[in-house]
Amino acid sequence: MPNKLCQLLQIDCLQYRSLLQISLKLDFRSERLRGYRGSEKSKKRAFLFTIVFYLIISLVISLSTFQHLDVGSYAFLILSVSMLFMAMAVVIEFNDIVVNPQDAEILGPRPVSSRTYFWVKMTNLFFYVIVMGASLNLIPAIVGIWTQNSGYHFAAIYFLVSCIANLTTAAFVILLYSFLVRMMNFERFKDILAYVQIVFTFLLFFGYQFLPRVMQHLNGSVTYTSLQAPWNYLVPSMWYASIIMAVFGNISTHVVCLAGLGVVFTVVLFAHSSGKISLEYADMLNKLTTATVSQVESLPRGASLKNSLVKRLLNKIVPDPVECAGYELVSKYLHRDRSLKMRIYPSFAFPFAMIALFIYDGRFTDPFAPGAGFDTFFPLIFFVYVAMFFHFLLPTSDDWQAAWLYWVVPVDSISKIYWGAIKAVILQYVLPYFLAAGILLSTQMPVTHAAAVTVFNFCFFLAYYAFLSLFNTDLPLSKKYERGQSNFRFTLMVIIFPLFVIGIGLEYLIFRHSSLLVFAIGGLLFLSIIFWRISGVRLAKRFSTQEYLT
Amino acid sequence: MIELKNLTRSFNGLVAVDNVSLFIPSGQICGCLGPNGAGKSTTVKMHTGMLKPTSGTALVDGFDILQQPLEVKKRIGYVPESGALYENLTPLEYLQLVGRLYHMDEKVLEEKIDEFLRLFKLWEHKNQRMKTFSKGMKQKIVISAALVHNPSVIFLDEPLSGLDANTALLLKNIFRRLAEQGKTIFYCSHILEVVEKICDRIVIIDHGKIVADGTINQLRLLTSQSSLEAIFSKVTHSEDMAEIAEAFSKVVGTMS
Repeated sequence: MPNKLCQLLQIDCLQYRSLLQISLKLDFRSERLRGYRGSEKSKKRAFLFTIVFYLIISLVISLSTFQHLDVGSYAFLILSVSMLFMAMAVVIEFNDIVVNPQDAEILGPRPVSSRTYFWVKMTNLFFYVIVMGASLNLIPAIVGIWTQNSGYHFAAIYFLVSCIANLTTAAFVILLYSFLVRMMNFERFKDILAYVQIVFTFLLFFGYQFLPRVMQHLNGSVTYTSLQAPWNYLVPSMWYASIIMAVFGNISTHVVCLAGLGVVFTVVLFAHSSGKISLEYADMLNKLTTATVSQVESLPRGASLKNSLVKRLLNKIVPDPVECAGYELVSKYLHRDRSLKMRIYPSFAFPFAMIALFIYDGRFTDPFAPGAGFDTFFPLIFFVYVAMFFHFLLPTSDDWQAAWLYWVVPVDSISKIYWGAIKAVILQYVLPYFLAAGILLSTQMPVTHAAAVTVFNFCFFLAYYAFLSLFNTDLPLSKKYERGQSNFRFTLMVIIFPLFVIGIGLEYLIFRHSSLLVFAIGGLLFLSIIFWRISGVRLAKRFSTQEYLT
Repeated sequence: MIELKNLTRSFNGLVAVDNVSLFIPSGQICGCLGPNGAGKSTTVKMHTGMLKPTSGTALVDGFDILQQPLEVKKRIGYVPESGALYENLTPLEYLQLVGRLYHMDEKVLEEKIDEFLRLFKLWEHKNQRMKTFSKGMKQKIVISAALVHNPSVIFLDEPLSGLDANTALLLKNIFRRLAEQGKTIFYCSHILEVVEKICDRIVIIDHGKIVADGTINQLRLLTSQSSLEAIFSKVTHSEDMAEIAEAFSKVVGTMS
């Protein structure tokens, strides 16, 4: 950062440069967790996957829309997607990139001003925003040259405006959070962060589904003019699209007002950030690090009876004490560990979003009826995404260092802890959600038919989850969650999506020949058992040679 | 009892524990001292199953750590230096978890947990998640977890870290009583005063080797030094600390 700019922002240039260098260096260093998992490239790989994913998404969207849209409407669409993704990325990585309480411990006693520290974090964040924003907008910038009323200069103008829009989005999210942190205690704040993430995932999924529906209605072309309406003033992506329109010579009152709104919003936001927010940043960080809430949980009335009933049921489900220990540990962590919830709960949004969408579109048909299509099977297969989330994320925890316990206890087969965890996942999360899905389906078809579809998909889920467990190398809550992993997983989910199309196809064929259904369900259950047995043996064998290296 | 037989552990060519042999009888508190990186924690981790020896072996109550690891684990209690816990659990839940992993009888486990929590004055916090606990409170739970299954051999790695003076005094008395009951205690620490006070015998490790082994009086005679601090400095061939301190303070005073 040039010295003049440092002076303008009232920050120490030397401190700023030093801290920024370290910050960026640390971002790409993966900690070695137990020598058998030497993966120092994993962070870089996760980041690369995110870039690739964004490039693919941007390619698909731009190529499928540019012929139907003019400059303004095209810019609006792409900017909307880009800003939504950016907001989500900041929300997901907020705890690590924007406010890391560990930084307060290390830097707190040092003579680093709040402003300097704030701009180090913002520059760090903006680095990611620009790189991710570029991967989301570079291809559309080029493709947009061939939209209606466009030109070669569209690429440069659009790209510049998209960078500003993305940076503004990131800054806005941070402003919003700094406001929330001031209003409430840190624990409540983290709760809200968790649920916002879940809502964002929902929005993102609906947004992704919105596009194909919009395409269906694009008989001719959609122009910027046809989109003009009062709601434009409430949608930031329209403001920035209007800036592009203004540069292209459209100087109508509507365009100028919207473009002006965009410019003013950006300027005010950055001015406010560089002023008030940067000054209060250290206070915010202190609040985040010192705020603790005493969570004394006294048992409610009637709890002892409930507890004894639950205990008896638990003894039936997990009679082995080691399995029971694994079951209860994971069960409690899935209920209480906010970080884990934030990472896993969004996965449930996908299948339910699909179910809600299909009910809305009236696309569910009785699978046993003659001429029934594929649609009915589509939503529930998304539960396999839930399996992926659990597979990747259940081993992670902020308390991963406590896993030393696994090595020290005299457990003849450590895989029992793993089975306990799997049972907790299936019984407390997956089964209730499939039941809920089945109830929803039964509003669209006869109850028995809905039950058949639900049971089949549940067994498919079990088989898939069991298959994934063959690649499991970690015990529950035993490794540190690494930044960027969520984006990596998201990318993987999209990439393997075509495989599920095959699954849907098979399901369709089985339901066409309903006599095969029972055998298919039995086969899936059998496969589940086989895969889980194999994975149990492999995990136990692998664990017996693993060492606790930190 | 604990018996180390030519125990060795290396990491990528670096020898952390170098051919160590040692015998600690039952009822003895053996203090283990050494500079940072000497191999103390590595030695302990080999006994607890967290690391495997590169060569050699060790016996715990007659059971080989390599041939009969489960039998060894049933008999040991371990307090790690990190003191890491699953903090989203309450102390009750964590101790229940540990007890189950040791296959303890539920009724006995419940009674013991109750007593431990009362004695450590944590009873009113039994349903409170440990995330909100102080370091000292967490350490009490870690120590309870290490003792709940009545181990005959106890490995302690900086067990008094973060504890207030009263709790530290309580624990020192507890360790003494446990030793009198016939338990073997292997106590790793940097705090020389504590080791000197409670340990029957002191082993000093440096660069993976035992450089001194005996009671405090034996070590005094051996090294002609009166304090444990001086003994430690001598056997670990530490440079003259006074000279280093002088040079360091001179550098601190230099601003340009």
